[in-house]
Amino acid sequence: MNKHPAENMLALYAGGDLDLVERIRVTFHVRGCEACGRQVAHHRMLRADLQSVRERTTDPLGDWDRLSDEMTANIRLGLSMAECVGPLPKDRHKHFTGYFWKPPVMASAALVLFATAFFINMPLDRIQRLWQGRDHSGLILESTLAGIEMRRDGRAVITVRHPDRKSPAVAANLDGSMSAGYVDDETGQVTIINVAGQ
Amino acid sequence: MSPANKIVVALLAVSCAFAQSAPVRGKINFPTNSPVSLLSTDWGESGVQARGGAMVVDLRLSLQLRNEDKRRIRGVTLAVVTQQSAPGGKAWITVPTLDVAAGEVFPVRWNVQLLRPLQNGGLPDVEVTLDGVLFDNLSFFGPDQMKSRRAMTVWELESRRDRKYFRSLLEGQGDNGLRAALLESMQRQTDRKVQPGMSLATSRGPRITNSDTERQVDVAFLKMPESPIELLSGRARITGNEAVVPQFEIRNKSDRWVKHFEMGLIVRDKEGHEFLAGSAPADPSLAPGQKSQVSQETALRFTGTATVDSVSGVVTSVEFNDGQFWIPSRAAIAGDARLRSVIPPSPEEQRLMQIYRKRGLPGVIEELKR
Repeated sequence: MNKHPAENMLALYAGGDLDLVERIRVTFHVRGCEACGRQVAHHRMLRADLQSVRERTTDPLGDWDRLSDEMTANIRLGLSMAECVGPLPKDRHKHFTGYFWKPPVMASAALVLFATAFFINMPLDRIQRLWQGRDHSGLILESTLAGIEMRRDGRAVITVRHPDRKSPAVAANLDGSMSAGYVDDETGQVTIINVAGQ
Repeated sequence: MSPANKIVVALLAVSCAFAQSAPVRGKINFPTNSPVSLLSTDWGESGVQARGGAMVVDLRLSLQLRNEDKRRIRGVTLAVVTQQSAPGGKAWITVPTLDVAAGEVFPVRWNVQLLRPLQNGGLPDVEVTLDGVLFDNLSFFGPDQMKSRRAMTVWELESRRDRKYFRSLLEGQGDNGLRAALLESMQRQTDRKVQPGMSLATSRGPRITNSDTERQVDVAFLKMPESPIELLSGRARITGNEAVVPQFEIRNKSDRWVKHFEMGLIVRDKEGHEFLAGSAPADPSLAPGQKSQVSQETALRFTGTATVDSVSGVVTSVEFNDGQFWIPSRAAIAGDARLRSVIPPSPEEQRLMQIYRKRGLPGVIEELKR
């Protein structure tokens, strides 16, 4: 790791408050960086002091001097921590923290975009069925503008595309098959594609 | 590159690898004595991609076939199979209205998505086989597992009927007569009520439970005096946008045994639009004069706002035990306004219309003189 973690990251690391991925990353860095190692040790020392003050203070209202010391220590600690979590140098912020919030945000945006496009392009009747929960289980052959679709328990299992979307000639056969016929523009031939439902 | 970048790039690479489709491992298997031979295969942009618990085989195939027989080929059916037993793995492609002489080459191409299991034991993703070839003397070659012989024969008879009709117009009324008939046919196709999204529940799951109440109505039958089969009575169950014609009674009024027939189902919606919704095939094996009940439970359902008002039936083809067929004449269709508006043009008429659109009247005349 070439870039130093931010001060606040080191402080959180010292307190064991980083998540697993960040913790591994900072551990990896601190092992090879003496300066950051010292920072971490310093934060740990501050925390240890604070912890010991807490343990010793069982009745703060009975010992005002101790309470005063503790408050002073707390204020100092607070000031130190404030320095740690203060604004970062621009280059550090850009190079270290920039990468890890972008992919989830981009993925979320892509997901929202994809879902919107999916619903916009979904035929109206299918949206209605989805909305009303009126889909059938079992095997269903359905004519669509694209040709024929066979669905099993709501999932498409076969699709016949119809090159001539202007005049789909779909015929249902009650023995359980459906056909889509079209005249091939290039060859001038009539082609009939059949799908068996069973 | 920093570790963060490396992680992001690795994740992207993994997701791209999953999204990428692999080439199709296909097998085209024609019998050794096949009357058509395979000259070339173009798999185009075909590919196989994992989706959920199955593999989606996207098949964009184009074949060049040659007629190795002395007879002229009128139709070809190819079976395309990715999994034999499960739904979603079987389709068949028919090219009717062909006229391929001995030694001539013709293309067959299609675009279809099928499923196959994730693990298929090293078998090809897809297997294309020959289901049947129909010749000009109506003889047939092939295993006929998809029952393509009957369909191709009916289309060939319709083709002959329609070519004869247009040829007689050309001979009797000249170019103007033929042009008028072609324009009238195009107008009829334009005027035909486009069928709404239609679904076929082949194995009925749980019924829709909504406020629509089921009602039973009589099925009206369109009279066609020349039909060998008379439709006597029938009942339909209608629920909102769904219709089931569970049974109907027929009588063979010809002097030959009837092996198979098809009844077209004409549906009228609440707004008064009529369209041919489907076809109900039956194999009654009826002796001359005999009556029979035909039953089926497949539901026809229409998407969108279409609400079924009534159902009518008309016999569209009959196959006799001796291998002969009956189809309605042009006169019978032209003589009934309802039939004229709902019966779709035959594949041959569609093809002639396409020629007329692209090459004009001279193209159609040239085609009819072949």
